[in-house]
Amino acid sequence: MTADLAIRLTEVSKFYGEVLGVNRVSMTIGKGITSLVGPNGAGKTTLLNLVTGLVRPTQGHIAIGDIPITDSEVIFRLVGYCTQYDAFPRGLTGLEFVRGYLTVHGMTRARAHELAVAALSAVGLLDAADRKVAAYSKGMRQRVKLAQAMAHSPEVLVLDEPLNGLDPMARAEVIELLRAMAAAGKIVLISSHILHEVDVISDSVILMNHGYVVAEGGIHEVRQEVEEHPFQVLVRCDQPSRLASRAFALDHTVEVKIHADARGLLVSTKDAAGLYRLVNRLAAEEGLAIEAVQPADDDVQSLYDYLIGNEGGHS
Amino acid sequence: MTAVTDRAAWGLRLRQVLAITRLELRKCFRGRRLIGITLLNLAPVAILALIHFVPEEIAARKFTPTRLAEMYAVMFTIYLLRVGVFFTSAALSIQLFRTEVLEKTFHYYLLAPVRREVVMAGKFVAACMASAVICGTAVIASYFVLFSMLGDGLGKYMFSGPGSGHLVAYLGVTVLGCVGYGAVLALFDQLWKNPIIPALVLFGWESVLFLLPPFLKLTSVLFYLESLLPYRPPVGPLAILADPPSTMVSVVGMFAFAGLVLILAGWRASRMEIVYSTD
Ligand SMILES: Nc1ncnc2c1ncn2[C@@H]1O[C@H](COP(=O)(O)OP(=O)(O)O)[C@@H](O)[C@H]1O
Ligand SMILES: [Mg+2]
Repeated sequence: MTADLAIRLTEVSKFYGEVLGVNRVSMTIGKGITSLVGPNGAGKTTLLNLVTGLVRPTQGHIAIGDIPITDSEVIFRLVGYCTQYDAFPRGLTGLEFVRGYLTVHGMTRARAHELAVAALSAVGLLDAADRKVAAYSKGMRQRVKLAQAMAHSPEVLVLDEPLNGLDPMARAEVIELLRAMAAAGKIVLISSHILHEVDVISDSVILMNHGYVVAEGGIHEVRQEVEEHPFQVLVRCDQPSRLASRAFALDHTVEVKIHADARGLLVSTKDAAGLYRLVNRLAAEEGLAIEAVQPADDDVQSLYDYLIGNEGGHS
Repeated sequence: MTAVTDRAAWGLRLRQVLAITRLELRKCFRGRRLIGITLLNLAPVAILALIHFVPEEIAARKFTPTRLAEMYAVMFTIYLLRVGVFFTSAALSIQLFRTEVLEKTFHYYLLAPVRREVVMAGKFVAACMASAVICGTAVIASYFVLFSMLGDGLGKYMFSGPGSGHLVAYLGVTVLGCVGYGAVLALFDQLWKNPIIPALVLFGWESVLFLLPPFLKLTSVLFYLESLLPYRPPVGPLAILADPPSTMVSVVGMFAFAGLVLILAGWRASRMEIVYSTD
């Protein structure tokens, strides 16, 4: 049954009361590493909680293979989930934490112990196994959650910001683990708010912003889409047609639209800096009276800037 | 997935309940959280110990076995059961759900292939066991502190007299009380955001039990428990008497009630979403 195992979302939306968590997401997530990337509040955790049944969709349907995610008794034999929540049951050591989780699967204590030790050693926590989780560092807590998620060798591994709080060495180790899981034919779904942190390891990337999936595909396609996304600038001024003809002469201008009231225009360009220079020159040297200059689709642009790491490049 | 027979599924669920119970008990008895509750339960031990300071010649005359049995019965109903078992159950049952959500740890069980009803059952059994252990210890300790007044007569009282029978009955009532109060308070934990106020109302209700007309007595946990006591202390002149239920009715009723509460809690849990950020 694992031959074509995949996570399938069909028109999935989640609202928290009035607040949008994710909106109309349809996708199929197959084997290999898939990264969910977007800034805080993008809806990554909501989507992962939906995929694991911790929250229920307001609309739509989610299944793993042919099992609906509401069937938790079966789903979590297939799925391991490392959540973002940094709270732990009180008083337990790392070993008790992982072993206890495995006994809840119904395993004997001996079997649970064996698997817990294997998982803790895989994440490099064996030495600290008998210490209280409460005394762990952030990175160790992250790793013990990871051990818990993979201890029962699930076919599907879901990890919410697994690289957060890890030092570079631990990070490299975890990435190695994820790669090994993917190579073993498992579905690995991870989230991150930093694109370059995951792009080299991802087989595919899903970009999210404000609850929407804004781009999806192989890392090269997504990167290209991000880099080539034209930038829209809104300029309010007294001579929009003059500015329009000069803007058109620039190399990277895609489109110019003059507003109906003839008091402004909208320029799409792949070289925002060039456009800003032009506007400044016209104002300083040719007496263009400027009322306002602002990015039009601030949202998507700032997302892309943020993701490819050139924040403030246009200001 | 291979087809799982029903019986195998139930065997698995039972193992899961036990695994959760074990984890919960471990969490429960670690740390300092239960110290206050334990001291509250052990208070009668200290009070009853004072009796050993009564001069011997008076003590020998006054503290006959019957008198001691009366004293213990009063201490048990007024304090060990009504206060001790009640507040222990309250402290532990409220942790069943609310505390886990507040501490953002509830999802850990839910990451395992387990029905949420099973999680609730495991947690409830653990809470009952923990309160039974704490309260039972207090019951036994205060019993022996008091009856050690009999000196050499203690062994005789325990084994040839009514002693051990009484103690077993007191322990039985204690366990039943932990189940009954545990269930009511777990229900409150389900029904109210802040179950402490309803719990205090219940405490008040149970304290005026003896004044209530018979049909209202039926709604209290104590009514079912008191009828099982080996030695019922005399009631005041204002009390309204009602026929106590039979032992069978009390025991079966208490477990059945706990079962119903558990089904409700499981049903609620199975529909619950893990959204910690807002309450
Ligand atoms: N329990 C909740 N109640 C209300 N709104 C929520 C809740 N959880 C998340 N949200 C909202 O849903 C959106 C997506 O959040 P989240 O999925 O946590 O994003 P991310 O993990 O990408 O940071 C945000 O606007 C957030 O405020
Ligand atoms: Mg998140």
